[in-house]
Amino acid sequence: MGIDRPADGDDQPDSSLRPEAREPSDADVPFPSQSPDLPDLPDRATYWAEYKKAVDAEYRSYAFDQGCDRIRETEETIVTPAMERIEAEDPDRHLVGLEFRLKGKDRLTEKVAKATDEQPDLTYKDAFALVKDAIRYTFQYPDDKYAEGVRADCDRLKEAGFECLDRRNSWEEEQYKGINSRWRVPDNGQLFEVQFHTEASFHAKQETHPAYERLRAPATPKAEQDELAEFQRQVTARVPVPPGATDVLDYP
Amino acid sequence: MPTKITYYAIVNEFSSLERPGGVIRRVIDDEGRDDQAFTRNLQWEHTGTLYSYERGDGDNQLYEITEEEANQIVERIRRTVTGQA
Repeated sequence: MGIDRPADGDDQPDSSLRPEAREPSDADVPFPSQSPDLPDLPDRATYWAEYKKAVDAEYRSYAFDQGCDRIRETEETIVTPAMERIEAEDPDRHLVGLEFRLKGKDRLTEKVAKATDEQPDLTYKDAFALVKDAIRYTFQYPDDKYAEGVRADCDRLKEAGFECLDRRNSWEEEQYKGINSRWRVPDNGQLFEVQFHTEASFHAKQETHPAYERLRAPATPKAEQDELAEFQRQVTARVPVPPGATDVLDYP
Repeated sequence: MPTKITYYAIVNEFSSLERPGGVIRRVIDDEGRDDQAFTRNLQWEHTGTLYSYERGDGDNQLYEITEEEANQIVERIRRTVTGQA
């Protein structure tokens, strides 16, 4: 089974199949009674449901790939070049983990599936749009340049034309320390995340990542979740809070 | 230890505090802890959404709510999924 593709063989995506376009409706699915090879009733209802489910899955897979291609293109042509220009403006801090700037397809798929499971009103298209860290960057600062550096880089991001969606300061939290912010590319609306860390907070984030993955996993026993959360708390507690970090305001 | 349950509303650009997109609860008891979301399968299932939020994830905002408010969201999800909305 396949989804109709542009008849001219053009590589351009069919705009009706992009995640931001419409999702398939019942009208897209031929009613089973139109086919001569259908089983007799009452199996037709089951057949119809299974057929629609398969079409939905096919649509989602194709739309997902198209969405990922669009994200990659935006990252390569717009966001990463801008971030590297911004990085060059101040030698005191630098981008770290740049090789992880694109979220893996598996994790992206997991996020979208989770969102539609936990928020049944969400369409697949909306759930895809909800993911704000499909592209992400991390600036790492010396402790004594942190607060001033975060404000300066937020200003630079705005001057580069990006729109700030939100900024959340977690320096007073137990499970994670740092500041995470979300931004929008004006040309196409693509979202991306910028995290602001010190060397110690970035290291703590990396050190606790395996625990975080275990915490997310459905089969992790309750007792282990307790231990993992306590491990995250202990590692995070060792991170020195840089001067002025807690004064960087949330936005909005 | 008595069981402690804390409820959270899931809010984002496709929902609001008045009409949250979903509901999560953190259950802490003698066995340990578990975060659960009320899903389209109409049951409470393990979720990593609250853990992600605590690590700065910005896909959703989570707001602590009362059990009664949580029950209202659960009932709305039931109606949505069963087509009685």
